[in-house]
Amino acid sequence: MLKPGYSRNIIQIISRYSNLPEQDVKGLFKKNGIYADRTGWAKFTDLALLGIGVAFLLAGTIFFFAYNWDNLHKFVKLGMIQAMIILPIVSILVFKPRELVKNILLTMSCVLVGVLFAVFGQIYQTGADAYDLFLGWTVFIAIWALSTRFEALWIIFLVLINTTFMLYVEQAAPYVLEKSMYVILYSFNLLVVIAVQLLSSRVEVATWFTRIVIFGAVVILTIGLVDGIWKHYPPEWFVSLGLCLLSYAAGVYYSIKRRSMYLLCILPLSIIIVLCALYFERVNADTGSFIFISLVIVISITFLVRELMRLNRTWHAVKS
Amino acid sequence: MPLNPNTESIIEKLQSEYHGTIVFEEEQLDEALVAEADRYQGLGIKALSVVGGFLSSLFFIGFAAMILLNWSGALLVAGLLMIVGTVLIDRVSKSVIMDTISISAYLSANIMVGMAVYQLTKSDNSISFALLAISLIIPFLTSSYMLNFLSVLMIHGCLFALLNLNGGKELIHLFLLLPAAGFTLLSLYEPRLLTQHASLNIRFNPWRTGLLFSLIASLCYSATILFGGHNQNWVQILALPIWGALLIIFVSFHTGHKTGLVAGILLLIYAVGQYYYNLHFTLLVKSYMMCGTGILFLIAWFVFKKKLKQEHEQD
Repeated sequence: MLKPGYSRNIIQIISRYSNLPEQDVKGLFKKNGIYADRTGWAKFTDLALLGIGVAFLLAGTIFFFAYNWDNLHKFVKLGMIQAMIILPIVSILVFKPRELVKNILLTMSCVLVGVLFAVFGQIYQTGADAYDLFLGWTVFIAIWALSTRFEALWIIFLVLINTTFMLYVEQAAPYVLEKSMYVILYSFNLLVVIAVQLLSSRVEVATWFTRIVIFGAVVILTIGLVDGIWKHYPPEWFVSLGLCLLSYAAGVYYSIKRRSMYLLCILPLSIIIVLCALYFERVNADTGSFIFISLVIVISITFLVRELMRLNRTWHAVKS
Repeated sequence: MPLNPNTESIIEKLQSEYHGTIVFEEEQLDEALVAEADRYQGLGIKALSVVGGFLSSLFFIGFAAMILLNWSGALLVAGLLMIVGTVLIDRVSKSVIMDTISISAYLSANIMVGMAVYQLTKSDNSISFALLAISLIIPFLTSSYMLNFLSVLMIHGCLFALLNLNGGKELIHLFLLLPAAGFTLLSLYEPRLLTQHASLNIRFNPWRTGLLFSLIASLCYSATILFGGHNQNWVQILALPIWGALLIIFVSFHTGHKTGLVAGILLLIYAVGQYYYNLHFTLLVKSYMMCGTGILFLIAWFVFKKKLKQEHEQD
């Protein structure tokens, strides 16, 4: 028997350079678990029917309340949402479900806290700024978010913190804060990443969580740097630049030490974007500058890809 | 030249299983398998090449638009030359390193040709025909993944534009049957197509992915336009986008493509959402309809579970 373990690409290559007949190629796809078999389809049907059924029933229920929304008494409205927040929590305590189910239920409650604040604001016309709502939401789910080891909930929590701060700066903050918003947001997210790395020996955190946070942080810093260039280099811009150089250098050093490709792909891209903006601010946008930038991007990224592939190959060779 | 141990073991295993009746082109097989093992498996570098390609073609088009707009003939020649150059570069070097350059040059060249043709003829139809011609020829000239993939997308886009330009607005929702049929046939007849010819085998993946993306684009368009219309008509009642999303899910699951499966599920949610959102009923009626549908599905689930259990007991 053929041992399982040929990927789709390998089978395609085998078929390309041999006279293996159609039926046997099909057999290879099936034997290596690439095409779905009876058990696979049974599992798929099971999940699909259940998932679609529950989703429709839930959507129908929500529509039903939405239809009657205006006629409901305010206590009923608030009570319903509060019940929906409490119910998952109680069921966690009573039924003690699996870790994943528990986390998903808790996340549901956390999202509903935001709905509760929104409805509360709508009923009583509190006149609060939008950031107040987000601040309340963030504060009231903080304990749940921090006490649970569930990356999806953490991402929601981080997005809330970032949004609250951005809205605060937009609506109520003093001018100084407005100018350094990007630096502060970047530093905050960077600190989260560092903290997660420091704790990684004690708590195991999924790589995708760190990657998403890093990606968000780099996007924020890149926007901040480009924005500062168009605003003709305010003092805060130089702080961002210093922070950028320091943290990127540390990131590259760390990546090479840990043999991780991720940062080595996104950090240079961020730098290339900032350099292009810098160039455009310095020169007038004429035909020459367009072709120049176009060529610079192609050449630098091609060079980067070549170097990264070479690096990847050496890491790979040493590992095996 | 001695073969890699990995290649040898694959050949040995297959030979013993099929009683030595298989003929291998051993050296080419070896080369391809080594390249496959050497290939960077992660998404990062690929994403970097694609983003770089798009960014730089954007600036290049800015350049082309500024300098060559007054000389349409030159623009056309430059565009065609760039396409020829891209194909030649790709023949010389098969490396992923060239991806950024290929994508950037191919996209820029096509847009340049499009601009030039428009300058010369002032007709949208002729742009579509010109680009259609290019994207029909390119797959014969090169086996590059990116160029084949982009060509399939362009063929679909040009046909779509032609239909739209020439008063076939109603037919657009039936037009999506074309990528749907292409994607389904290609996916289901994968083993047959792979064994047909080496040159077809090597183009199979970009064509399948291209058709998948085309189908998704068509379905998204159809779901947005179709269900958003004010008067309900027969095409709307057919709810083709929902069937299309289900088709993608089933075919992708059957052939083991995770990306297609995820894309299909997202598309299904979007299409169903659009469908109910634009349905001309009150929220109350919609809520009854949805609860009813949900209960029907749950009944189906119970029956299915029961049947499955019975079958297990019989085995």
